[in-house]
Amino acid sequence: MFEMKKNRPEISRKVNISYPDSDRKRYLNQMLISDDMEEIRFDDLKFLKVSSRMYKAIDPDHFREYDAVIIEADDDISTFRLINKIRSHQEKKIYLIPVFLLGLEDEEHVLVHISDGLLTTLSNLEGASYKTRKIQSRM
Amino acid sequence: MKLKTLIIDDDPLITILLRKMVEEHESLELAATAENGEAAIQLLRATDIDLVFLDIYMPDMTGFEVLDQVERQERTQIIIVSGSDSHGIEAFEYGVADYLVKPFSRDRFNTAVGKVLTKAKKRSGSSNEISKLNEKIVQYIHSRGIFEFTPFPFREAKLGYIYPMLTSNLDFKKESQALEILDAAEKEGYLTSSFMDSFYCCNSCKSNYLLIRESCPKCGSTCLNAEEQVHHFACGYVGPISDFYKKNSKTLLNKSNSLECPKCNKSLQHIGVDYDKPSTMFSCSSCKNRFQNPVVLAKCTDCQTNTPVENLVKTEIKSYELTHLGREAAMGKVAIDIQEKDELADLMDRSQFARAVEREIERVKHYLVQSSLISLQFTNFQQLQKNIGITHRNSLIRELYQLLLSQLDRSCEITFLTLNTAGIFAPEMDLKRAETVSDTVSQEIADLIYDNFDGFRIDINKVVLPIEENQNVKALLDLMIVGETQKV
Repeated sequence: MFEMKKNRPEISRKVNISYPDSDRKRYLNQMLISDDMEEIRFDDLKFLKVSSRMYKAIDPDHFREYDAVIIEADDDISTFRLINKIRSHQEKKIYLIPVFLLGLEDEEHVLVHISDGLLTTLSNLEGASYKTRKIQSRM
Repeated sequence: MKLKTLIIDDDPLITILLRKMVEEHESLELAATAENGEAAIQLLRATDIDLVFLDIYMPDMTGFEVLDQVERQERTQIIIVSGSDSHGIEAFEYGVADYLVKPFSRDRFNTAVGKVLTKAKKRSGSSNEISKLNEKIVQYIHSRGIFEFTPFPFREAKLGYIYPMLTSNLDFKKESQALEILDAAEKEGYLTSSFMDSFYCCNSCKSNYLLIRESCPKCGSTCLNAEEQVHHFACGYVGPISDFYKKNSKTLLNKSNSLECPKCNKSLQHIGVDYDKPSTMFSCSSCKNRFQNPVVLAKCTDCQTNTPVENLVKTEIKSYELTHLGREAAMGKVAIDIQEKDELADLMDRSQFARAVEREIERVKHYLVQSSLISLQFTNFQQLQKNIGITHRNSLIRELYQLLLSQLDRSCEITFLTLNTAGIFAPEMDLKRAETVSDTVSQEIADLIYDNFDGFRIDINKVVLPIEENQNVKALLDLMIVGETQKV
């Protein structure tokens, strides 16, 4: 359902990919921002999916306008560093932002424990959405 | 924290009084004064002000009119200063912090400022690094609804464990501070703890990655050959197994299967019947030393320090729960303010020591007294510290302090000028006696350390100085530290 386009648009050519699903009130759509960043809207929440291998280039200030971050865990170290980068930010909205991991197979991996949960697919963000709202209500 | 303060009052006497009180208050800093409303408005627009003492009746406008004309910053708090108490309700509506009726006492002034400070602290959040980190921790625990804040084992962490949120905020080198930070939060009542794990880590840098190695007690080399020792029951000969190999056996299998006593030439057939293997013998490839008990050293992979395993200090890892106070802090109802404490601050009060010496310099001007300063420098203390770790070092310094107290006259003033230099001010003790005393206490200290730290010999450099008139205290104290005995 969420196959990526091979030629992804540049930031200046943001493209909205809509997924017709008229039966559901909640909808999910994705917007490719760059090769390593993707905005996902689900249930009135804005998720930002980022690739962990970009941890050096990513500016956490960018997360300010999102409700949660989904890290595509390419490898343990870069994922760990990216989580550290977020949690060591000085701004409350950023250091407490919910962080979900995508692509980890081991549910008991330490990175799962220091994040807010593991996603196996992007097709259903119900759980992440519920958890994000819960965290936001206590922030 | 110092609040930038503005005084707005047309009465010069009140302005002088307020200025004096503001200048004498440690948390206030006078930014400006204004005599009328117009000047006040200009100042409030141009400057970032935390606190305003505002008079109500001024020649050009009232204090409330000043507030109407200025878009007040959220941080700016107002204390009304008025000759009348009839504007209380209006002041309340303007959200002022307090209302002082002239004349007012210094206590009343301090109470009003105290209220402002509490609000300002709450607004600015936590002030120092430890407080900020603890604020992050309690917010994280609360926002995630974590019942038990538990560390997780992780190969990339210096301690071998990571605490979510907390470890992310510490550099690799400082990761061990996580334990002190959580400890401080527990002491202040934001968290409660329960035991989770304990282990040994490097005494110097707290790294958990230690290489445990057997080494030669003579040269420290780890290039050792181990050989079993054989005890032949019949003749009582004890020696390394290689002594028992038959000289004509060519293969190792043959050798180990056919042992012959080098003393009585009898063949050793059955272990437990003819012979046994009571221990292992080591030989050092570097210095050829032969020994039975190698020294087991823990080599830190981060700081490269070698520490005998028996000297390693145990580290305890705990899990934590939020207290009611911690929850209040997480919700911003209470500001976390944890002061960084120096564990040895009470033993290292150099200023008090300097004042005592200064008074003595004055005294010797007028009275015929001979007083002395003694400095004991533990020159290889660093080496001992590496072996015992910082926690034990602090306990040792306390122990040394107690020993000095018990050995010296009650009139002596003792302080640790540095971590490895004890300073003693001995009033009415001449140089000769001071030297005798310094010899005695040095010997006591050396014995104490030798007995308690595996025969460690501490090197003590003694400096004894007379206190004479017109000496410079700072120069004297510097001499006690550097150890030069030239005349000040």
